[in-house]
Amino acid sequence: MENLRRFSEVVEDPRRYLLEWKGRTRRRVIACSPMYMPEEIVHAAGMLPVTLLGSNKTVTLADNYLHTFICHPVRSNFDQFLKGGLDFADGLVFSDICDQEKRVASLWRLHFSSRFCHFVRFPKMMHGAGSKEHLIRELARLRAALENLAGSKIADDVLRRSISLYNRTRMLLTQTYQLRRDSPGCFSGDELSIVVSAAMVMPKEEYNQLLSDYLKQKQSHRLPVEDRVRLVIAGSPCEDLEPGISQMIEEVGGVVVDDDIFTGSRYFSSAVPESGDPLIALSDGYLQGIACPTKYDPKNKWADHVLAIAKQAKASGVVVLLPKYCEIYAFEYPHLKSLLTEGGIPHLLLECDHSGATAGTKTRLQAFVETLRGE
Amino acid sequence: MKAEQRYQPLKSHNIQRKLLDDYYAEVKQAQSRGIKTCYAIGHAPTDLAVAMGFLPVYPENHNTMCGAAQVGAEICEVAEAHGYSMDLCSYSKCDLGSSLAGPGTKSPIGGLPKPDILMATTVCNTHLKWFEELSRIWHVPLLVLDVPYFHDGLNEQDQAAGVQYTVRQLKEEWIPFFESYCHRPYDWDKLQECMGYTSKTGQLYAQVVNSCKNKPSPLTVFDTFLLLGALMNLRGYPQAVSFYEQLNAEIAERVERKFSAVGEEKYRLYFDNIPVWYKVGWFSRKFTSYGACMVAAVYSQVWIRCFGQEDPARPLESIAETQFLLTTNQGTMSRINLLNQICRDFSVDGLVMQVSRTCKVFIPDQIGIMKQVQEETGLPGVIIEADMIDSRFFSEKEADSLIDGFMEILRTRKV
Repeated sequence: MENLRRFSEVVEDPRRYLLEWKGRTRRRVIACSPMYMPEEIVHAAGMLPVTLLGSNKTVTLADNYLHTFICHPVRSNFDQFLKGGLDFADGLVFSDICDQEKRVASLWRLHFSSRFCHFVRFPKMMHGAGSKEHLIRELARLRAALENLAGSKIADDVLRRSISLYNRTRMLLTQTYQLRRDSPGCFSGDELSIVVSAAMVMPKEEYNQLLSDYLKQKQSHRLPVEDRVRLVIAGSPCEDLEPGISQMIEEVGGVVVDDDIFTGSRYFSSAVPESGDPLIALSDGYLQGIACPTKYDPKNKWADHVLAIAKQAKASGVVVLLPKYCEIYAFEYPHLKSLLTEGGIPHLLLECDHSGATAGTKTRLQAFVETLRGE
Repeated sequence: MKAEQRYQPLKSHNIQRKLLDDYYAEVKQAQSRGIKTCYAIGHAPTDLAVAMGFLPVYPENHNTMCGAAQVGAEICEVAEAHGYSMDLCSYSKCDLGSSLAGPGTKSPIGGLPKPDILMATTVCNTHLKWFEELSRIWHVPLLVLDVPYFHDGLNEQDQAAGVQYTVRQLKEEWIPFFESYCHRPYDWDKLQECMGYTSKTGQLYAQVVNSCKNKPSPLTVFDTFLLLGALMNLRGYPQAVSFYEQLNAEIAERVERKFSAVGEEKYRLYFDNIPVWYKVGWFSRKFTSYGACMVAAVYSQVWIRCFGQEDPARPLESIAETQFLLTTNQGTMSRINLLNQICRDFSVDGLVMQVSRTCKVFIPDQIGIMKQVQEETGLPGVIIEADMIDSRFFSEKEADSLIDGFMEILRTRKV
């Protein structure tokens, strides 16, 4: 498929794509930390927000600054930066996620001093007294900083149009995911992960067009449901999916029918209201968003969410991808484990560090799928 | 100066031990005596609970006792058996392990009793996650205070806005919680009294920490680590104030007679990250054997930058401000500036960068900080991997030879 090839090219070498885009448009690119990033504001400032996705390349230079037991996305993104791989970025915007990201963000600032660098103090408590007002103020601060960089004001209408554009991406991706739940055989391996990752790099104007065509083709070529074990993958919260995992699931007779991963449903699950004050709308959208243990929200817990999507997708099992050295997700695992067990949904825990799925991983996946089949 | 070759413990260590024994006896009896307990993270604003009659309990301190009793790793393994990863903060693992083990815990005091309420802040993400787990295990209410990060380069107005957000939570959530839980109006007079004690305690502990600026230093940071017990557990009470007054008098007497904590003081060193609780004595003896006095540590600074600054006349505002002053809530640049200042103020000759492997607050920018400070000060440094509680992350043999090598570098530089 032509469009999928285009998405793959962009995801395989975002730098090449972005340098070419910059050369063509003469516009700024802003690198953004993963999750809770109000990209709409960057877009409304006439710049292209690009998510830092980590990389499969071996971390080398970052070893001079970061211990090896810091999580992979933090190490990998910093490594790419030190190697000059982020030369396309005119600026950086971080949104507070966890202690590792926050503290290393400070290091970025030290080494990035000549370029635009901004921190959004996203609240940790999603619905506490003043959480929303605090976030609105932080969004206004980001808006002002970007206006200053751009040399022009961001009008409310322009921001509303950006919100609407981003909501269209969310809607199209939601439809794509619905199609996968209904006809999982239409998508192979890590195809959807690539589709979502491309959304984090390309301008939404171009992306939405490509995605819309891609979805239409998929809808018209529904493939028969094969006898495969329906699985949900959850975890991998801050970077690209562990290399090789999806293909391996397929090889052992499983099929991914839904997910709760970073380059997956987490990216598009929270729509932003399109009317009213745009900053209030953005705060509403992002505070109601993904169920993530990095935030404190007792009514929107990750474990409950994973159980819910597994049930909704009629999955036989869940593959939990816990990133090595990510404390936040590791803390949630025992709860997730007991909830899934109580809910009668078997799961397989795989610890990931982006070194790629091994033969051992395959054996475990195979055994898991065979158990689910009742073989 | 007459060199005294053997480590001589301060008399105050024993006085503190007695105070803490009494305190833990009270913790154990709290339930039977109808006293409500509030489990809190080490630097939580517990004055707010003490003012309403709660007895604060600090699992971190209990963990250090488990660490010192050499059972930390064993208790961590209990948590691991329940699905908690080995890489989690060992403070949290030890506490969760001890809670989950129930009466079977290996804790030297038989574990902590069930809490009535829990109190955490977001300064350290781990604290929040850990206390969420406690709340799930014990089914008790959890009070959370969201404290935005003090990023480098924030202007005063933005800093103030962060503080106001935190104040609002105290006003609109915490105070009403205490009133509703205790069925009575909030006791502001008592809060001011507690804050007065806490502030005085913090200032007196700062005096202890700063006494190491003397040449020779009358004590080592290993002493200051152990002598933190009263500040952590008894702040908000008058006993802590009188303890530190007594301790400072003992230190003043040492300074007066130019007593050196390590015999002939040849080197003055800085210690990074959290104390290695199961090896405090070992580190102390090892460096003392070289005439090296560990005079400064970021860990002691964390506490004196927070406690001691309270203003009882503006209770909630000032409590919120103290949380922002915590070193752990500040950006890398401010940590670099702090370490540079420590090196100057304490006349430091070298940096011992101990790595508290499972602490996600101290380690991410540790090497970055070290590099920058070394560039500015030219001081030699050594990186020693360890952990605060989990001894499985520490190799005594390796640390021993790293320290030997480092001391050789220091010796050559002195020559």
